[in-house]
Amino acid sequence: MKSLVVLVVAVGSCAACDPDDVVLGPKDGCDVGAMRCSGRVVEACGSDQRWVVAQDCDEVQSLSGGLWICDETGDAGPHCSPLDTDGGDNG
Amino acid sequence: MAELTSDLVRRFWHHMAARFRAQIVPKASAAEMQIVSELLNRMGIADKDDFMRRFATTIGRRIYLPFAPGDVSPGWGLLSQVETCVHECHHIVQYDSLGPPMFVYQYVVSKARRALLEAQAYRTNLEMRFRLTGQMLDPASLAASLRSYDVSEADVLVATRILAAAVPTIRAGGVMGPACSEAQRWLRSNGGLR
Repeated sequence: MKSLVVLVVAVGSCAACDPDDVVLGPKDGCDVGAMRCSGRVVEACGSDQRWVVAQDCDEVQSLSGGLWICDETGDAGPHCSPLDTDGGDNG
Repeated sequence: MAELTSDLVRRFWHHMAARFRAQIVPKASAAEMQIVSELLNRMGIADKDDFMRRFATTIGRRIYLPFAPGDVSPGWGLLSQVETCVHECHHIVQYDSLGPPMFVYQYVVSKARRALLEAQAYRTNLEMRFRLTGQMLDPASLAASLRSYDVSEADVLVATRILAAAVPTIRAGGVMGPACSEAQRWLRSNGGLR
């Protein structure tokens, strides 16, 4: 409830600006639809020109077993990929 | 690969609802869904009948269903019911992860974030279909489903890229979130997945 009040106050106190800037942070100015690796995270540039987490390789790793990394090779673009061929079956 | 029966799907829904602390509500008899469908209809976002018959809807921990789990009905085969269960449970995972105020803001106010939340949920459809049948759905076709959620074409493009990026991960055995993980664990131990 407290966080809801903070959110409402934050948005309400900035009536002149984009509420997304208040709640989600400033735009990154990225190219919509672009993908990249940022450490062990795959990020996508949303239609609001903000980077968002598309895949978290740590989460994939914790649920799948093995070692997973953000891989920028291949036609699919950046994605989580097992570090060794047995990566998905080690769990 | 999958051996789905009505009883198995009924028990699957029961298990997933308990695991993710969800309440299953028949959509047709829910007064709040009648109001929402009327509002969406008037706003030109979704056809009232389509919304009531073709879509499951999750609000908080309440999953409103246009079918009875395990009962096959037009448009709702057993495979579709399993995929829908995981999809809706993934929304509950998102709701818990972001917290109610941020989830509501992102889903209701920001089209870009709504598209992201749905793309992540549809990614579970991609994974469950692949695990259950060996068939990989087309990311672009799946992302096109987002047009029913009042998002822009740019949002559909972003969703297509996110889903396409999941394909090699899923093929390599990557599990896309706790709902997929729990679903596969339960289905394996109950004969629904080899």
